[in-house]
Amino acid sequence: MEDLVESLTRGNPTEVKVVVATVVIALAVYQLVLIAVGYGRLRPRFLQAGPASRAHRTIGDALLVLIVVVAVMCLAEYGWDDDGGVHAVVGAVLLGVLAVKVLVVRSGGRLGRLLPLLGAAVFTLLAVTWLASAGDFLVDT
Amino acid sequence: MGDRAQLRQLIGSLLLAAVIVAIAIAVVTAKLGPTSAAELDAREDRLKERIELREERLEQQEEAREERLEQGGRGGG
Repeated sequence: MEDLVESLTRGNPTEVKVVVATVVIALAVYQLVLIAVGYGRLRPRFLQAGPASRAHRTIGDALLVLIVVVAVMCLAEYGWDDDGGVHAVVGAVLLGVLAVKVLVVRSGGRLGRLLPLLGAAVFTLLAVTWLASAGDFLVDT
Repeated sequence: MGDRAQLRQLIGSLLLAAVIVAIAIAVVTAKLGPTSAAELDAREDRLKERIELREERLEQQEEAREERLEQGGRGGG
């Protein structure tokens, strides 16, 4: 797996991971705005709740793929490294919460009430995971 | 509000997401600097060339010194 990651990233796994993780966090901020419009917390004249919610769902699907890709790259390249303790633990919790959120979205029903809480948790965990790795890397570069 | 307007808003939202992705990639890539394999290879090649040139120059200097020593030895003997 490590070889595959190395060849796909042409020997720059860390840099590619940082770029993809930063794209994820930037889109996550945009997702917050979209869902605020979707729930009617924000009411811009140029965007209605329906299209905002649909865009949130579509971008969320893409984000899910990107997050899994980053997680796989991370595990393939570094494994459960002692140095990345906080990053590894928070990242693992993020994947768990994300899986629950996807299940709740797909199942619908009364559990849907949990979505704002799950979304906030996903965003917070994403931010902490990014700060503990990509953010650190960008500051040090 | 018509379906068309909603579709337009949806496409606009997705296009904005694409713009955000492009900006994030540009900013991070600019911050990281050249990291592509081709750039790194070129840098390595330049370094190798410099080392080879330096070694060549040292060899030439060494040869010149030996020649001078030989000529000096012949002149003296």
